[in-house]
Amino acid sequence: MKNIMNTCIPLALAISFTNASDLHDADYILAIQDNQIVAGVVDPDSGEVVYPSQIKSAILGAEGFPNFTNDPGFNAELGQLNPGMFIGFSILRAPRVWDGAAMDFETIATEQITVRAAAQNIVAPSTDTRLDGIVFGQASITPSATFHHHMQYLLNGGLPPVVEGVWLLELELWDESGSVDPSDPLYILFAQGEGEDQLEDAIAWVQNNRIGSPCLADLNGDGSLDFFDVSAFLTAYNAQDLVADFNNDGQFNFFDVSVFLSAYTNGCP
Amino acid sequence: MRSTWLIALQDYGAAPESLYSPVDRSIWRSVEDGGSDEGASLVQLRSWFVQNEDLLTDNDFGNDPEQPEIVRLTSYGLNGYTAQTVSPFLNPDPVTGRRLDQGNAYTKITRIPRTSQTIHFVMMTPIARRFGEPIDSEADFAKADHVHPNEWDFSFISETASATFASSQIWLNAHGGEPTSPSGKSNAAFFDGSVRTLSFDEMYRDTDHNLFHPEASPPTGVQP
Repeated sequence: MKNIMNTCIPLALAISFTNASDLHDADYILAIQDNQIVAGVVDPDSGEVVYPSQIKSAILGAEGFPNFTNDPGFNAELGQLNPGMFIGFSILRAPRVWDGAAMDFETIATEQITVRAAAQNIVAPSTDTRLDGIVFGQASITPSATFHHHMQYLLNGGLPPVVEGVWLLELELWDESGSVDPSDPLYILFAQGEGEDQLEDAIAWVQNNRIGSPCLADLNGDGSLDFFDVSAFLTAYNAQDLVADFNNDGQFNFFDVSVFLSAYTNGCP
Repeated sequence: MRSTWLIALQDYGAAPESLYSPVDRSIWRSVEDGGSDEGASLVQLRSWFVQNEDLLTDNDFGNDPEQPEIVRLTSYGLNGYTAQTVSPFLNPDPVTGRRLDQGNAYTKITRIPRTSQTIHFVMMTPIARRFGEPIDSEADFAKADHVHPNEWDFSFISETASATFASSQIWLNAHGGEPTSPSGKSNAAFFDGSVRTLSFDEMYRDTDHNLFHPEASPPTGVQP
């Protein structure tokens, strides 16, 4: 009996069999690199895991009822974590809702996002304060250190009515023992209804504004903002170079100028 | 040598075909078994296991990049509460109030106080579901060998929500009823060796009342 119980094949949610990697491509793939928890994702074309990859998205309602999803889960390749380690999460700030007009995530969501994990409900903060969460999973105690856990995400408690849009939740993962450094921020986008059509733009915004260069307007990369950056922007804009597509909508118009000027005004850190 | 429970059952004389339910016509079964999946069968997988014994001794090969693609290997799946590698982390476990992790998981029969009221195997969904509707573009739990009943409690949403969610894992109407309905009937094998045909709401009501958590109360009306 022990052999049977202890060695089950973790199929399906534990892995997918559609590519060589056998990892669920809806999940973050965790590893320890340079003594830090790092998240990756499965490249759908190659099946390889790309580290680091901080952004994942999920569709609310896919599991059968609205305002809910249990993706992304958290998975790991064999031997990439410490056997038996406990991994927890914290919520770094208030969730955002996508503003389709402004094309940004600057608005704090009025909708409530709840993370269900380890039999607890963790409600995301409504103001920009860090919320220390809980341990949500344990790597297997064998050398393979298998890890596959799904937290559950509920919008407005999972209750009706259906709300359409895109939301951004920012998490950090940490090792309960403290021997491994916490992850960089993870950015999870949840879309529902018409929000699915805006998801691509929302992901691009996160990439450019949360992960990309913190000094977006420094187009010549000299570490300072000055006339030469304005000149570089105008040159790129006139040439319809993608560098000047500041709002990532594939068009070159006033909105790109506006976003560039905002970035220029914000300055470099 | 350790082996998966599917392989272990073969060692006791169970042919691969016997791991399928007679009512299982999932497309994810092998072509030889009437399905349309061209992945590796259990027989083929067994030889692969022999060549990769080190992964078996590691207890879990699931995330090995070199693992071959496989077919639906079985109609049946383990109760996740009782399978070590997928045992949930709960702190505190709402049923017992204790921390549940792999160090004290229900992985030995001596830790299961009521074997006649604790499910060992259920029938796995034959097809994946998205928005509650069947899809045939991905297998998901149709190729799984375990369920996660610790994730099923959506009783706070509606009386049917738990069944809707669970139906993406368990084949809850294998023997009658609607595919996502709490009244759907399926077979379940218990740790005392018995097998019963039960409706989903006879197996599971919520976190505290179900036949999966070894220390939970049974749903109302279930006889031991």
